[in-house]
Amino acid sequence: MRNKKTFGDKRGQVTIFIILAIVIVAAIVLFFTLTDSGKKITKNLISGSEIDVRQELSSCISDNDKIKESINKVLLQGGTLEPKFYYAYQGNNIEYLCHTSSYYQTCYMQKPLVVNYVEDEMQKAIEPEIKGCVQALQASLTSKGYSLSNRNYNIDVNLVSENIKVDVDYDLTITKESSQRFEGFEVKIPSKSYELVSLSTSILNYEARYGDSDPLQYMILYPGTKVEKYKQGEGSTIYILTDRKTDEKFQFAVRSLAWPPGYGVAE
Amino acid sequence: MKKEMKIKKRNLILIVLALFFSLALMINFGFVSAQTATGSTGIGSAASVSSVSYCCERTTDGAFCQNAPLSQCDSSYKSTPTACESTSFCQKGTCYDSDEGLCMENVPEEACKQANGQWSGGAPDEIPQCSLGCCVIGQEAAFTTLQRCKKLTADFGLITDWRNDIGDEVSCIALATAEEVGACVYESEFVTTCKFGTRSECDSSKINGLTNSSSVTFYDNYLCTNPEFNTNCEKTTQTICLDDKQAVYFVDSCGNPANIYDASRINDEQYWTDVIPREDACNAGGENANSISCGNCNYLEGSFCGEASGSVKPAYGNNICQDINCYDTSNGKDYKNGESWCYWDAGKEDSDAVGSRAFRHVCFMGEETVEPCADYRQETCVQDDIDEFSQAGCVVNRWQDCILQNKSSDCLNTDQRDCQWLPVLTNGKVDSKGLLQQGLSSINSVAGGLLGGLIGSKTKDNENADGNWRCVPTIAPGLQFWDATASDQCNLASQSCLVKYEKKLVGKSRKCVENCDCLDSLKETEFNLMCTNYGDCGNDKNYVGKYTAEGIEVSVNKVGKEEAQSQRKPAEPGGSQTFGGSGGSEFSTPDGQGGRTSASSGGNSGGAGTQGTQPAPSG
Repeated sequence: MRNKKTFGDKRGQVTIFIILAIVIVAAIVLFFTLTDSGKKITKNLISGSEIDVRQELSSCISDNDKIKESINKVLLQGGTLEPKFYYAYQGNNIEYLCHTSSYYQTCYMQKPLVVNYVEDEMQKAIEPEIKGCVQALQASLTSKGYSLSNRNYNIDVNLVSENIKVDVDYDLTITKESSQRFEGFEVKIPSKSYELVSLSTSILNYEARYGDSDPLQYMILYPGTKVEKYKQGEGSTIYILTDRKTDEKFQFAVRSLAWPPGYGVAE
Repeated sequence: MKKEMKIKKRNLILIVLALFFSLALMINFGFVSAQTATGSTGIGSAASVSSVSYCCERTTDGAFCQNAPLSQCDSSYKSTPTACESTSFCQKGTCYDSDEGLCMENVPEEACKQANGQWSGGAPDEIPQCSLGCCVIGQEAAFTTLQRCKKLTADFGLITDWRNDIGDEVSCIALATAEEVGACVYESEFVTTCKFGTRSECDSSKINGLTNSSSVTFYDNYLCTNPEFNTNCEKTTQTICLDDKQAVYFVDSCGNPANIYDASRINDEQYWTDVIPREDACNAGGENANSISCGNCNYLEGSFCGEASGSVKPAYGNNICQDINCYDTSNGKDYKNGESWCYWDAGKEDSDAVGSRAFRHVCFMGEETVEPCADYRQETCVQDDIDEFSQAGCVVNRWQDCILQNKSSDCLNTDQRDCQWLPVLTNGKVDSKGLLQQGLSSINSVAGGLLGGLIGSKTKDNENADGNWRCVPTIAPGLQFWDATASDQCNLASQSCLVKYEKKLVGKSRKCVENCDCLDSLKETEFNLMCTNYGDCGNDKNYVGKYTAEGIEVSVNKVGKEEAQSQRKPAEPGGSQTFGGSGGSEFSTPDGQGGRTSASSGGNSGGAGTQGTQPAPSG
């Protein structure tokens, strides 16, 4: 009787252990299937190479000093990589975004879709570096024994709130023991370019309509942005928009409602 | 200015006098004249000096609609020998960017088309896509177009809320601040959690990690740390600065902002339960700059949320109301955030020293920035104090039509122009009272405005018909002395003075009988005053105080000879390259194209259009 009871106790204990085991396993399964963090771990375990590929390309682009330099160069030159119609100011050739060669006239807008224009110029500026990153990725994967199949290399740069979004349209398939396909990569480079360029459109419209604008009013509306305006002797005005947190700058030139020295003359 | 003294000598030997044999009369005419004819140059004629230029639809360097020589026009685009404003292909219109929802003004059609925009030949007000409304984006608002609103709200994952019945920006901003805010409670990963925001943001479709079966509930005017919600969001001792807010806020363990930082209420349960408006928070309306216990910053009073640095540390967290006023500025004074003031590098508002310029200084976010007004004194800076809050701005110097005014009432009409009514020297008549006033004007200029208003304001209309008075700019414009147009303008100030001599019948001696003081070398100073009132003419100081004494030319001709002498001498550029008064560093340009590189090149310094002085009258 006593033995029987002991045996029964043991069976009970086993049952409890089994139940506990089931609960623990169920909890683990639920954790990995239902929670975000669990899903993330699962995803990492299942497709570790995908994360590597994306992260490798992403870090190559977003941490690339040359890309940052190129972006800054474009922003300091009025959103233009190679300025043709510019005002030389403090070592920078700053593209005119609104200009008239006449006195007493408001300016003609030169880059009417300025956000698109800056996006295109940035794309031109950073394309070689992005290509370099893609080539580095290919070399890295090849060295790890992957065979690669790729096509459709193309990039698209978009200015969005707080970021420069680089879409690398690159159809890549890597094969080792199994195959993985990447239809494209999206990399975000933290930047206030969009905010600065968007603000410039308002200033440009003021210059086009009234021939001037008031930086103080813009700073009151956008305390995070410093707006500087420097009128030059021959009627041009240089605007420098600076994000107070990141210190990013966007410079552009305008010549609108210029006054000649004296009665002025000829143009 | 150029002046030359022409002496006309007429020996009138009268037959009658010859008969009397003992009488002889010689009349000498002293003549102080302009180098070139006065009154030949006006605004219209100045404009007509323009070289023939074309309107290029596009120039070779890629610019649209510029007036330029034909050689600079891109041959694959249109061009015509007229001003662009008169052409159809350079008609200004509005370019609509359908991606960004932005409308740009003054766009030539071709420029818009090449940028893939939609061009309309009118102002944005006339284009339906460009009509503005209030776009509510969470707790913020923007007065913008519908398309722009769609883009902005899409960026934040919000539903577009664009209201075209809101007609102005102020009402729009007010609408945003009136949005309901509160706690959005939901379940995520089997845990009840919370997000603080507006009612519209509290939508299951916009919340990440939402447990499938979870409901989302919005509690207006409550914080996420309300114990009744039983969420995982706990109160903390940390603070946060929000992009769109000026105050320092407590932050909960979920990263949500709570009420304004108030060290005395950190353990107050109620302070972590209800939303307390700013007006009811600690020391509302006060400056609270560098307060270690209260984060109710006041932007208008000069404080704004920022990271604590230096010796001042808040009792909790790392953020504090930073002092954003400006102290010990370039003029040694302190200014509040948002204040602006003028600086004239020649010392005072109506100074027209050669090369001088006005500047507007601005204090904002603790920084002093400097904006130069237009060069060549085409703008000046005006300022006023309202309740000890200084406001300044660059305004256009409307001097251009001063010389065309014949009446003092027209001349002194400040709604139309910025001129002064001064006595001049004509036809040999020298008005000593007038010259005195001229002298006072000059002294006034030097003495910092102590005699302000003496000249001009006390003149009367009965002087209207008096040719001895002339309307001149209050602030004379700057000129490019190396340019021929500068001398044309200076010539407007040239004056002549007819001096008469009487010769006695016997002997060679002669006696000056009329306008004798015109030959007095001291009078040259008085003549010079009119020159300096027309622009950078005559003898004058430049903005760094260097005096040019070769700015006028006096010629004395004998009877009838009128030998105009041209001895124009440009003054040597002088002065330092340091830009007086500019607190910023942007005013010196190494490449010589930006800013004013020297007093001579950019700043028309040194006595533009100056002429040599030859004050020795001969008779």
